[in-house]
Amino acid sequence: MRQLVAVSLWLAGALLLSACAGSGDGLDQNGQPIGSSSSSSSGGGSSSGSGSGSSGATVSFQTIQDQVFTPICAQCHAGASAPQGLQLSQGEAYAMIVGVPSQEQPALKRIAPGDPDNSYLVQKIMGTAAVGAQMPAGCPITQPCLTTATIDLIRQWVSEGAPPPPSSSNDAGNPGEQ
Amino acid sequence: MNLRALKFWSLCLLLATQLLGVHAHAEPYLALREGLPCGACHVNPTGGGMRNTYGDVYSQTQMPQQQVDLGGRGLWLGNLTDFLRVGGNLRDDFTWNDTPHQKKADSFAIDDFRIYGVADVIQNRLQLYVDERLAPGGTQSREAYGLLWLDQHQVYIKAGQMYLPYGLRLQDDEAFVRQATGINYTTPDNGAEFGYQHGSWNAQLAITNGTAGAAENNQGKQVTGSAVYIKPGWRLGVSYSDNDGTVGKRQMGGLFGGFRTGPVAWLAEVDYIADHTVAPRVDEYAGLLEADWAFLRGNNLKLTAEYLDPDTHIAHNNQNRFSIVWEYTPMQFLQTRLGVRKLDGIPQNDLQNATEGFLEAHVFF
Repeated sequence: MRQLVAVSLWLAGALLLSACAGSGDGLDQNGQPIGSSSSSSSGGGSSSGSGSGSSGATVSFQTIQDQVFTPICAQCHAGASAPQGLQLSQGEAYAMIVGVPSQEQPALKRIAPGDPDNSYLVQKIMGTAAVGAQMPAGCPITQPCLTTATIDLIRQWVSEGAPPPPSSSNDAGNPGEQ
Repeated sequence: MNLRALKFWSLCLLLATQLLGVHAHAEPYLALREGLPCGACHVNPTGGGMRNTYGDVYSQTQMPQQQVDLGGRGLWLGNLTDFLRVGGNLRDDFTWNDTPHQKKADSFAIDDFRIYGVADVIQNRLQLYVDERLAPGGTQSREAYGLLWLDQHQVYIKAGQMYLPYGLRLQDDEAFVRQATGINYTTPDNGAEFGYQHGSWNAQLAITNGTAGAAENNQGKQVTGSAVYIKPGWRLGVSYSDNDGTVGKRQMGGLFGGFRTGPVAWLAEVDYIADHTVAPRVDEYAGLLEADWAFLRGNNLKLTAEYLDPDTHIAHNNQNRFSIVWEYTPMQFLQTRLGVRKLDGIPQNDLQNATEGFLEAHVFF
């Protein structure tokens, strides 16, 4: 009897949860309300991290923030408990990575403007870093690695000197900057 | 180990399990099944990592479907010398992933390879412990601390790098409750921990940098606490964490526990997170329901249902994660795990709707 009650409770809970998946109504692929500041530059379509690849056009930091950091990296790298103290959430990421020594390999900058090969963050997403696992965490086991197109996008931004979003920033929520 | 010693340890274990009225394994569901705290089987009083002597004996005599006769070698207890013990875990996976609008992928990879060492500098009093991750990637210290037991093992002080005491110490770092709280096996931190264990009570309070192992850059600290009341058939615990960082506070509170009905262990955790480090403030909820059914000796079927509301101020953005995992321990030192996880999130985000499968070989000693 006790077993039956437990099974029923668990099933009821699981069914309740399954009914709770977000419909996504009114949201962009990052789960932000369409038209809100943080969604304005992300565009539509898939958020699989495929990015647009390097097309010859200049890559903006906000594009990377919206297509990679916010939907993928900031799932873990956010808040005061972010792994390695690295926050990649909107408004925090740029100041945390550009010209900042990495924790795991202090000899390397997380992002060395103009030098993607010696940028630790690039090494981490390519799986060539000397320390630790390839990012995103779990790739390729529990989630896909970033696609070549996405990595190329980031490499291109670094190659172009890792320019900051307009109006500088490090301060949070200055979104919509392209 | 000779036959006499083997008999002695087996007898001790049998006696202990009979006294406690249950069988033992590892992971939170195993602790629940046994009515024991995590520290009953692990060197670390808060669980995870190296098994202690009891954990070693149990994992070799009670967990496997069949115990392979090792002849005169006896049981592995990890003793290199009278005061130095070692252990290890290797998880090697074959995984496949089906993400909408992406090419299906499968691969072999080492998920985790760790070695452990503990030096009982003063037996039952002062320990030095290390949990080192060797792969994937380069070597990384997960835990490295000194621990001093006081008051007849009722109180301890730990200092160094350690996993934070919060909620259920699940093996699955990807679980929403471990991801959203940011407290999991990938985020040990530097600081000190005070522990108390007496009767049915088990409590810890940790004061750490709040940087997940990175260098501290401010005077704010993370205070993390957990208290659990453990009875043979059930347990109930609360956790709290307040991290005062450079860019603001991140506060969390959680309730966790479980109960046992026959061969099934039922676990649950719910967490609320108020994150002031981002603007505007983000409030999150994460939840976990887990059922573990020991349907045959050496076999466990794990079902989990998870929930995440990544921002309560935004509607229609909730996510679910469902898993079914079969854990089979055919012999001592070896476990295989076969599982499927289905993510269910907003339709416009492909990663939130992926299906993942894995076959894992878990070798441990």
